[in-house]
Amino acid sequence: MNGALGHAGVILSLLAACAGVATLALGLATRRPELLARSRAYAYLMVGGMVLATVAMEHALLAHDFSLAFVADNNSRETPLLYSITGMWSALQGSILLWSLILSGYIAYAAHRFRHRASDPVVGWATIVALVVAAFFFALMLGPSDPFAATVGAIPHDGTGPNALLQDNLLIAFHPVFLYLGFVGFTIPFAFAVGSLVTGRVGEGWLTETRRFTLFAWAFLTIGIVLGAWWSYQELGWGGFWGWDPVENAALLPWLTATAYLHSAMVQERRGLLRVWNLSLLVATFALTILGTFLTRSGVTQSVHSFSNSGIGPALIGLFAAIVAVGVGLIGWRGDRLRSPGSIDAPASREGAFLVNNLLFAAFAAVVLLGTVFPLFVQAINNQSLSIGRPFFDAFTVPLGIALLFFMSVAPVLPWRKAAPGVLRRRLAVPAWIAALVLVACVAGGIRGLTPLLAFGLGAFAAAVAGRQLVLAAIVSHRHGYGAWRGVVGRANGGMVVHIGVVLIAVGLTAATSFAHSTERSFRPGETLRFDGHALTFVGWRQVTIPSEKAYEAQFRVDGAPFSPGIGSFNGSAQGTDIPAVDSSLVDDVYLSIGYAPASPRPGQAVTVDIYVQPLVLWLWVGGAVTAGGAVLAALPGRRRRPTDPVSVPIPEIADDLPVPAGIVT
Amino acid sequence: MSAATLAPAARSRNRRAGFALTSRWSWMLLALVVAGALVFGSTHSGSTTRADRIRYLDSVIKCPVCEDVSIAGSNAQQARNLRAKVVELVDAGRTDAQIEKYVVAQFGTDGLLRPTSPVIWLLPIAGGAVAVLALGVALSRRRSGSYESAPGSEDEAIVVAAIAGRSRAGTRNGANASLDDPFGRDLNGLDGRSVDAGDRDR
Repeated sequence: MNGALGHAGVILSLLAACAGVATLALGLATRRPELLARSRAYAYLMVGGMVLATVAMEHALLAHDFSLAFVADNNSRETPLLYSITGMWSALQGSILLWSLILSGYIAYAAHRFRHRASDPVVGWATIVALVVAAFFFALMLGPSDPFAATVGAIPHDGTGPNALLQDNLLIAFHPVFLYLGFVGFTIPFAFAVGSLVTGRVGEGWLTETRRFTLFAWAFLTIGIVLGAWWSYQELGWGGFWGWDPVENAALLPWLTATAYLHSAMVQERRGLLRVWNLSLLVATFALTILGTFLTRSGVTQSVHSFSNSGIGPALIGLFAAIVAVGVGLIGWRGDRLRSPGSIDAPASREGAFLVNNLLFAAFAAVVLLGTVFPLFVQAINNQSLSIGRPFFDAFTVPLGIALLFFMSVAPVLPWRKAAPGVLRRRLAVPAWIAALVLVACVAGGIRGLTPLLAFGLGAFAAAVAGRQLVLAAIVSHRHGYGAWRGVVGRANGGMVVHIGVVLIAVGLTAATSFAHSTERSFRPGETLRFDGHALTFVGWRQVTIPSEKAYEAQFRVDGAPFSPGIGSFNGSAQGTDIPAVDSSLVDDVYLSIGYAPASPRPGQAVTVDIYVQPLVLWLWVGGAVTAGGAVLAALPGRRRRPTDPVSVPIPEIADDLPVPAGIVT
Repeated sequence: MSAATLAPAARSRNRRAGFALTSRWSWMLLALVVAGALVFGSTHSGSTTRADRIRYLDSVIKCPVCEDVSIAGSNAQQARNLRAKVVELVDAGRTDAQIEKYVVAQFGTDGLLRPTSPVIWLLPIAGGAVAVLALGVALSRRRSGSYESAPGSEDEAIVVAAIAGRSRAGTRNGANASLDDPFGRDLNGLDGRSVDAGDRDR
């Protein structure tokens, strides 16, 4: 029943997508706008099919319908309600369903958003591209990755339940969803890029039209990555949050190219430059989301994230190749029209700084990509296994990150086109002195090492510059009678809030990786040990049993507060899963993970725990939240500009010194 | 430099204050302070301690039963044993290189997370060098003016054709007229966002 409904939904969506493509193609070929407008109905129909399939899947999971192989593998009668719901994306087939649902939603929203311009060939072509991508995923669900496949053989009485790691933390409900909202969101800007290339209307119009799609996709991806780091920190028991794991890299890669694009798109909007570069970044971003899915889901790389293996690898790598070929081919074909009307006049200008920023991001992405796929090539060619881990990535990404922090400090105060002599000297004076004072304070406070000092100093510099821009924007906004709060709304100002969030992340990351202390200690019950300024007391063992898991908790008191890391055993499986306990504060985190314990500990037995004390880890998550908030502020529209208002702000004397507040100029 | 002197200095943007943070002298002082702090902070770090060495080695040695995870990042029994071994070897007075050699002898080149193949280290550097060179060439070519040369006969033909077309159509308001390029190029796209901004429906 659920299987039939689900299949019906997928088939409905596939047919709707194909019919939409056919209608649009016919409409474009015969120049009949009414056909183009009609394609919107197919997009809505496609969403309907996906909603039906999703409802069928969730119903099957909640009703423990083990006649579906996917449910039998990822659900059991004891699985709690929340983890039954999230079971949909606990394995490959359901993840593809979630991906398709989100993609259909985006396409339908775009069709609705541009409904008054449906007869425009750019919109028509963009819709075709998006529908073809969607049809690819629907076809996957009818072929190699069928979420509604029937159980082979007798229907089991009970299922195996989700992977133990996937039913212990609330973040399973959010991290994959945000990540997919980010990944999939880049389909729409890519589709419009292809649309404008095909029609030859390569002006700046499509860029502004899809700006908000890109921004939201970027924000979702950022949230997804930060939540993923938080999750692995709470779950994996080694005190870390980022391991340069191939799958983490797969999410980071499109984030890097998308961040570069968000910056360079401003150059194109403002000055019409960097067109080929921007299109290449968009194509790269979308292609990397598909490559990331390939790396995650096809089983070519083994990692903590590869919860499933399957045969969809060739299809995904084929789609990746097709995207790259289409992108490169179209850009090459339209090369003549993409020539910029001008050039960058001076290196010390906003666009010059953005260009450098872009090159740094591109280099960052290239290093991460190389480190991720190089072992695969070596394996394929030499059949020799090779590990590339933190030492390689750190060697290149740390200097690049430091350089990015520096440009993050300087770029916001640079004017467009050309900086007059002395402008930088005036605008950067106060932030630079703040940074210098922070640096001196760090050295005085006993912090040693070039990398952390540079990171903290430049972080202070970048944050001070961003703060300066926000304060000035608020003042100008207030002076014009719009209320100071407008100083944080709009693209430029929201962008400065994002910068502050990124600085918080950079500082947290540097502190946590450079100044972590860890040790392994054995405790007898009642024993108190001191480590790195914290007093830890082992109280004793406690057994906890909840339906799907049987766990032992080692009860501790850290600086007086109760604290219980544990070992969980899910569904009676022999292998225990570590459940670390984290005590977070604004200054540092104490992280306890059971290293060694007897199989069924009795009250009087000793425990061996790994203790990690890491400073400022909490600021990683705070920075992630600030970054996401800033992205939302950047997406909010400023006050609509009256067409007769002057475009530039007429403030004499110090006019070049003031950032433009939202609402004065859009 | 205290907060009290910072506040008036911040207002010195109008170039009226006496000693200004924005002056050349102030920037030189700043550069000295920063350079001094960085040099002091990065050299007076003391010798690497035993704990530092163990932490470094633990992060470089791969956990034998994991994928791409160091022994510092794993709680597997083999990783724990190897961590104990590292402590033992460090205390026995072995150097980092000797310990790494020991690991490679035990587990092969795959035993270290730092790739031993020089190719992987040279590729990014070579790639970066090529990229910088290519950019330099592209920028210098652009600066030498090949794109901004004087209008040629072809360009003149375009202009003549456009003017002829417009006078035929009797358009007097040139600003609102669409520029139709006889060669099919999107002349409107050339000046920033004129056309595309015009057909935005918001």
